Amino acid sequence: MKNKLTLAALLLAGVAFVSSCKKEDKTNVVTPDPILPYTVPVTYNFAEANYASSTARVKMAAELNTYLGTANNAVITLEKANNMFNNTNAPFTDATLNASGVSLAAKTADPTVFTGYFTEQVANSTKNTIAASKGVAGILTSGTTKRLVGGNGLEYNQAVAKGMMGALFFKEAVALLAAAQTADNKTKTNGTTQMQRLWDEAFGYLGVPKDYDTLKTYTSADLDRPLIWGGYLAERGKPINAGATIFKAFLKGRAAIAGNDYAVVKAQAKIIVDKWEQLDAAAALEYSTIPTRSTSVGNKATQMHALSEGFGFIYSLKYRPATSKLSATDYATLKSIFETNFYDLIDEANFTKLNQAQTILKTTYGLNY
Amino acid sequence: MKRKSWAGVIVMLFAAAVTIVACSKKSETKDNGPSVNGFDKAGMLVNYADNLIIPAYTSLQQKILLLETTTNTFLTTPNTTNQTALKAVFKDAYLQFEHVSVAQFGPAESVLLNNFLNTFPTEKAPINMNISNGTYNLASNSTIGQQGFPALDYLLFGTDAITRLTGANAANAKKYVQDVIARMKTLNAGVLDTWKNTYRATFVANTRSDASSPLALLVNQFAFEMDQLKGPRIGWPFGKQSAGVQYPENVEGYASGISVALAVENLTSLKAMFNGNGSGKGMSDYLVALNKTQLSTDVTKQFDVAINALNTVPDPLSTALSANKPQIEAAYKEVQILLTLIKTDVASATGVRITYQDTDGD
Repeated sequence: MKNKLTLAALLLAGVAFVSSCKKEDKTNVVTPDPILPYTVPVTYNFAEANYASSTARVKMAAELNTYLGTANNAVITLEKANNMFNNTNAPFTDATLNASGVSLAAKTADPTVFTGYFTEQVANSTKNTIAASKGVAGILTSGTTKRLVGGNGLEYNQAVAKGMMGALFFKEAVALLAAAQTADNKTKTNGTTQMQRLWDEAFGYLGVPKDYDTLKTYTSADLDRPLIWGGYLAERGKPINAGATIFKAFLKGRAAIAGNDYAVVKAQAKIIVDKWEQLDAAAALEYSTIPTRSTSVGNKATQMHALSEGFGFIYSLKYRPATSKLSATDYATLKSIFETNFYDLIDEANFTKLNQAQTILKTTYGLNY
Repeated sequence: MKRKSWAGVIVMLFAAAVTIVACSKKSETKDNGPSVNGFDKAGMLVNYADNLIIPAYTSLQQKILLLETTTNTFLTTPNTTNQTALKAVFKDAYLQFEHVSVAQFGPAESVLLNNFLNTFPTEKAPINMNISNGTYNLASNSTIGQQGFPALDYLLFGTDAITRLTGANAANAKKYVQDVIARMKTLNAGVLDTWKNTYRATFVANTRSDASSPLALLVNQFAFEMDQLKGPRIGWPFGKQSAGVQYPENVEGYASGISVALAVENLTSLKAMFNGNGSGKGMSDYLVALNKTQLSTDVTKQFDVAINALNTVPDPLSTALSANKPQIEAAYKEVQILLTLIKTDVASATGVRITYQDTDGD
């Protein structure tokens, strides 16, 4: 069944190509679903669209990140962090998450990497009154901002927050969008086809409201506000127009599914995945650059914080799709740069390593702004 | 199998077709900022490069060279006569630095010139450690607080300067002073050369106003310098961030007692940058071309008001902090007004985003 659909989709793509060249092709015997008229809405208010499991995970990650961040001022426990990761023992403030039946752990690649970061953060939380320095875990301050770092300068809560953006959310979205393209689009269950459900689930991982507005400045007063990746569309995605590009592609692709317009579905999936990966790279680039700016030099709290976020975004590139422009060699170089002790990175004359990271990211992802 | 690969080829071709269409559709959106009513933006940039920035580096280089020879005289014979003579030369060079401080972008940014030349308060304990050890790496970014003008200020004019240069570690101390000056010379010469050889061309050719454009860099650095004036130069030592607890030793040029002179010079040089040295080819003229004449006038006036207010504060600032509070309070207020005008109004009028303060929310 699946194979037949693949073939149908491929043939359809072929037809679309051939017909655009106005040539008759009578060798096609498989009749694909006829393309029906459809309109692309401006909000994700599709009938029966349900991505509650994705939304739950996004909210769980937000709560987990908040909890790990409290280590700046309080001793945290591994038990609580693991409970939040596994959704055991009702760990979330938002009770609907406790009852959601899903967990972060179930969809996070390399889960032990993250539980290992929990352990580090828990250990560092007992040192949140010590001044940090190379080899000594503790607190770095900038004004009233505190950053809890390990002896290597890494904030482990950032390694979790930003690393999970790749190991869970982006990775899942890529897989779901790929699966959607060959999924069943005839049988409806609870009002949607399998193809639609997969697409919706992927959309949920973007973490934006149904009526996402790229021009609006969301605040914590907005109950339904962009979270995790959703927040990054604005925070680091503006120069590459990530918010509008990804959101519109989700809308168009979802509408096209109802119209059996699979070539459009496929094209939108590619737009989403490419832009999403570029957004990750744009964030990594910014966090490779901030520590090298004259305005940050001398401010270790700012430098380490940026590097910690960069560490997570670079790690996230491990879960890039097979179509990624980033070569294995360049990824290995980036990874090794961010695995260098941060004190050495910021101390290095001319920032040779960080500049190298910037160059790889700029060149690979066309980030020249 | 065969059919599959045939289908694959078709899909690839299709994808290629889509890509080509997508490519041809891509429109080049050049961000040239607000319309300029025939204003010669490139001419303004040439004026900045040729009449303000490059001459400022050239002059600083000459003054560092003079500082070097005068310092050597003092190092050879460390007495108060030579120290007094040196102070005038040191002050002259430090004042000149305030003219290049506003050009902290491009070549200066890539070598962190401001950080290496003017991180204050200087780190006395590590400096003395460096001297007693006789080993240090002034190229390392962690040593920005152990060199430049603030380190010289301490080593040449601090209360124990002559004692250090005649005591047990005199040879090491002298070498350290010379190494600091040598590094200042190398760094500034490198920036000057890069401006002349390559960066000038890049700078004057880019009339856009997006994040990396000269216009954006200038406006950002104006605002940044104003923030420095409001913060580390005046406000922080005055106690603005510490509920009135003052830090007199943290002022710029503490030991030589020239903080107010430096602040005034900084602001005066910012004003010259703002109005293009009165050439008709400055940011102030650009604002007029943008139909923001009132703003242009307001900023120019506020520069004068702030400079005059600062001038009522006597040096050394370290004692004025407690002795002349009303004057400092008044000057601080005027500096703040000017800062807001530049950071908010000028930035918005020129279509420039202030980017040096990262808005990282998490």
